[in-house]
Amino acid sequence: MRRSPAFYVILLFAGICAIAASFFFNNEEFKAVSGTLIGIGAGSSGVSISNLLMIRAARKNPELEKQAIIDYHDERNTVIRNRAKAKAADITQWLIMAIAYVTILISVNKAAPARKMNDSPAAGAAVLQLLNDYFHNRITFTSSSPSKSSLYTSGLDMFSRKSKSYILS
Amino acid sequence: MTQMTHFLSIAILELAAALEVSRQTIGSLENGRYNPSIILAFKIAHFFNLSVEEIFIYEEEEK
Repeated sequence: MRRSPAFYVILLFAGICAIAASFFFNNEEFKAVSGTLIGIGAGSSGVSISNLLMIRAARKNPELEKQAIIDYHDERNTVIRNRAKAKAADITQWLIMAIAYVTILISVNKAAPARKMNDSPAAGAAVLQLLNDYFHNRITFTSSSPSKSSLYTSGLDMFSRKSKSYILS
Repeated sequence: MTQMTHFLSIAILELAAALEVSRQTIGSLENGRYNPSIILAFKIAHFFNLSVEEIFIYEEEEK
């Protein structure tokens, strides 16, 4: 629901102030702060300008405004809106869980050589070095019969400085 | 509901304006696609000067 025009005027002013403040953070260290301020400022001023224009349009057309208020408070619309929100929250909950599990699995893949290192330090260090090289594109694993994926990895290899190649039979 | 509005020759818009609901809600009520809240049911009953039971009939769902 729309708020009073005074609220949007204050929000617009705050947005402009945030954009202006972002120019003072031109240091490399505060680059993220500057970007955040520009984002917040542009967003809040855009929202307030659009809402102020809508308030002005509603003042010119009171019948439309009244109908919009009725539609907003209509119980069937409220039920539909709440149901949509509940569905979205349900999906988001599963999505967050899925993202968390994917992140955990990625961490497990990276932590695996460290665990192996405890069992046998030499083998663990070798695996760690191998994975480190692989993730930095210094090595590529190519099979004896070239496939699309091996061609792609060898393509990445062109950009690496130290190139080693391990041929897997 | 449909019979009521036809009998009293009340336009959906008029009824919607009197009850302060959208005309889609009135349409859905007439077609039986939406069950009103108790408050809305009483508002409709008051509008037609009837009791709620005279306008809405409870039908048990088949299991």
